[in-house]
Amino acid sequence: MKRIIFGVAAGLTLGLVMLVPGVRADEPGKPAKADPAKELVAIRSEWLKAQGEFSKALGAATTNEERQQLRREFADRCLKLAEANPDNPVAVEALAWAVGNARGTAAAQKAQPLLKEKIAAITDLEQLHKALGGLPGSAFGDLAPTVAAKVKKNLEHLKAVPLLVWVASATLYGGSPELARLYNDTVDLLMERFAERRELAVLPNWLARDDNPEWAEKHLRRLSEKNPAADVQTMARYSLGTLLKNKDEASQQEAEKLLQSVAAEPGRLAEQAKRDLEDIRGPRALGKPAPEINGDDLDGKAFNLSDYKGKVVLLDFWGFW
Amino acid sequence: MIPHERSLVNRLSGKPFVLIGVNSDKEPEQLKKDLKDNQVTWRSFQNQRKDGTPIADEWSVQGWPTLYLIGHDGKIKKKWLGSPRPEVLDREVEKLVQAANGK
Repeated sequence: MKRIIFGVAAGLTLGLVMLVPGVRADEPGKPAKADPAKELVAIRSEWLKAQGEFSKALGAATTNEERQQLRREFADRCLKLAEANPDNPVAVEALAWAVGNARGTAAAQKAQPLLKEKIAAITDLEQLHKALGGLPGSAFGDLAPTVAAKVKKNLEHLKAVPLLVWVASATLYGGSPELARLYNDTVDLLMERFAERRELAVLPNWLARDDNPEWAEKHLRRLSEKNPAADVQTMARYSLGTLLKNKDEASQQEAEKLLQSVAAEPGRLAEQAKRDLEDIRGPRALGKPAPEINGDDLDGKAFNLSDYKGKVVLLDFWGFW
Repeated sequence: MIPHERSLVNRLSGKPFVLIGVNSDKEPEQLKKDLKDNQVTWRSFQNQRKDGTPIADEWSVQGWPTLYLIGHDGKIKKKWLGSPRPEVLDREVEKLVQAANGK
């Protein structure tokens, strides 16, 4: 799931103008009607070229304003391209580009509903994967049920797993009880059928923050056992370690063991694991007596945590922000 | 989260339980209004103390919200990064409140 495209300029304008039938700058005399298959290929190759040129220009831009302007312009052109070639698969990609890379622009806002309509109509998983690849799942949660239904009919397909991972990413923050349930069902399905797949590398990070830690723990244990990729295993062990660290006093020993093993390996997680180990050995680890807090309440009146000695205390670090 | 916390506080009133916030909002006037609008009745520390040290740093808060659950024996029992789902929170709090009642 990635989309490269960043980047325009000089050649771009020309490139995209050529995509619009009837305004073919290269062959002014020729009528717009052409062999549909050739037309398809021509439009695709122009689209690829335009993306390349855009990337180059973006790379050459020096200020954020410049880059923002380039994105805005390119998003407009994407929208025009899609409107001019509504039945060409390139239309979906162009709309997806505008939505995924030019968020907040007028073109992106216009492209979003068009794109949803088109994606809902796609049945081929390969094409679906291409269309969804660069899209921020979080902005497309309402597409997730449709996508999940299509994939479940064809779980043997090569793109089934990446598409299920996309569904999970699109429903990660719920949004409604139905989407929250779809997230759980999708992760259950991935873990049950595809625990050994490389694409599940994104799960440990999500599971470490799950609002249902027991469910997450079950999956992290399985992932750390079943996934053959060393880095996925490390991530799963790290997430499991942090989860157990916060679970209860009895789990501290296992958490420490897991985090020690991660801290001993090379990689970016080692440093984090070392910090987590400090927590486990520090004064606020689970099972330790809560240290005193002296401070002021929101009216400026002094108070202390120990004022509530003998009671169960839920200490909530929060804000409205 | 706040509506659920409010119902938790109401349901357990009279029981050996208290919810204490550590609040990190910066605009006192806006905060006053938000507290009223959301009927936040429980007490909160100001995260930033008068001497400038934030409480959250001492409690290794890496993201907000973070919750600690402390038993009636004063020991830290659980920690959550992000809000746990309501039924998880209720279950863990009630377990400890029962233990406090049976002491």
